[in-house]
Amino acid sequence: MASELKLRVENESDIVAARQRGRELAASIGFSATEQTLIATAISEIARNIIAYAKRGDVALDIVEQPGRRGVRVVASDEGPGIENLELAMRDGYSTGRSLGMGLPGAKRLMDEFHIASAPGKGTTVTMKKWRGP
Amino acid sequence: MNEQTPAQALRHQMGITEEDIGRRQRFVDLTSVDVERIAGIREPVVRNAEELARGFFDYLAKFEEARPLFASRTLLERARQLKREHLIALVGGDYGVAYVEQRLELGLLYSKVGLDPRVFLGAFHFLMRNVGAAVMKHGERRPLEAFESFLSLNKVGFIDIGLITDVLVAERERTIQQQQEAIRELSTPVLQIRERLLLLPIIGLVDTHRARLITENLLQAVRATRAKVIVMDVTGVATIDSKVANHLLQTVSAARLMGARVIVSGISADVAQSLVSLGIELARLNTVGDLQGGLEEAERLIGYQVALQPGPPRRSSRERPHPAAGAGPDRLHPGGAFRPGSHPGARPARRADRPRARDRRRARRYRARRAGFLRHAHAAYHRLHGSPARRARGRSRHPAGRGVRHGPARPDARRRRDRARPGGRHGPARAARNPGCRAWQVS
Repeated sequence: MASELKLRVENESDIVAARQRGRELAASIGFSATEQTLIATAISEIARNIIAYAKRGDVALDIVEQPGRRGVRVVASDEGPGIENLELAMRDGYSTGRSLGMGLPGAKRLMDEFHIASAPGKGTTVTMKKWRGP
Repeated sequence: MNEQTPAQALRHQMGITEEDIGRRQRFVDLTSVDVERIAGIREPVVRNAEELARGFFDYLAKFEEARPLFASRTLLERARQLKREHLIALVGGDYGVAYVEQRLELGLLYSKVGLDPRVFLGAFHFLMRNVGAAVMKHGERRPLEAFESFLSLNKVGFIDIGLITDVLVAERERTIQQQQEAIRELSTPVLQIRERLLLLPIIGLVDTHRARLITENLLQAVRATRAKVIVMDVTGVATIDSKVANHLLQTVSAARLMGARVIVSGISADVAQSLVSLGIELARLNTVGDLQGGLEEAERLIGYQVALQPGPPRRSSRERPHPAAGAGPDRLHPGGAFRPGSHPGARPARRADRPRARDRRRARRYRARRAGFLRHAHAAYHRLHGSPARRARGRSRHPAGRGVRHGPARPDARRRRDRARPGGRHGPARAARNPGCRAWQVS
């Protein structure tokens, strides 16, 4: 099933909407309340990154299926300045802004799969998945 | 320079420039051919403008949802006038800034009376139908041409609809934004629980703006109340991400700089897990499970000792005079506290504002029991389980265990008791001769 949900992220209330939708989607395929919170927090983190660095972008949410398991996929894309040093950006406590530097590495720990593609001037796309159950 | 009219202000606010108007015209494919055709049907529409406008409002009046429009006479008159102007401008051929502003003013009026967009659409459709009928009647002899002209006019009609609905939506959004603003202001209270102890409940979404408000309010309150400890309760925050956590940490640091310690309470299990996964170090914070624990911890830090009293606090009679003790002389006994039966040499008279000792005892006992602390058992309990002396009181026997102490024990007591005993006296029993004597003295 491809019930993709694409949300524009431009301000803080969009973040709330995005993570609310993420929570609902996760609940719809049976994620527990804790897992819903983890997913919502991860969405919140990457959506905040979009606003902080790229001003605007999109967050797409959908359900992915593999034999024997289902999960939620979150794709956050923007056309912002991009990330110069991905390795550094994924390090705990590193931030070019004035944040805690926990957003990207934190989101990676919150989800099961995490992929980031970015280049300076080309924008950033973060794809992450969380699988349900064992 | 003349003042900006509300419609002009709204046009700027909505970002409707000449360029945007051109784009709107392209959306409905309005071309110079259409403008030419419209010019051909100007006459019948202008002639019927008055009647068409009246029809439009009569149609609206049929719906409950449009009732507010008809509540104000001045607004309605203005709306009628604008509608007539609109109908004339509709076939005027100039659909530039002036036309748009005229439309915006009417839209603003609609939104002021809270007109339902669906009702508006219905009425507008009705209006265009009537305009169509007038146009077709005028061009009876060349129906195809008339129909094409009407279609061109319809394009302008769709631009109108777009504008009016935009105004209605924009105004609604503005209202929502204002309300959100109001809620934000309301939702950051700082409450003083005790001397130097503040409570900061955080509920809902914490964004940058609100975090700043929270910090500001808190620091002001710390200064004003010289608070030493603050309990920050985050039970109402469903999701805490790194940014919110950062905001909270900054608030805590700021409060600490002002000499107040912050206890964070109410981090739910879900939030705790996600914070740990995120890798946010909150060990610097003094966290406590729930609000109750937070308050207890805060009290401990300040040095309050909260102890359960064995009974509820007693109020001295001075604080709350007995209702019988009015100020000034008693109306019935102006001489002072007179109690029937009191006589010189008896116990000192009970103070008038004090209930009888027995009542006080009873009240104390029952009050204590209500509060959940059993100070004195119920009298009946003593009669069952108490010491022999207490048990005996219920039976009114003398401790020596002989006869009945007060009055006859059974209906036939007098007959049997009064009988002469071995070695006793003959004649009437002593109790009968002297009612004041007690039966156990008989022997």
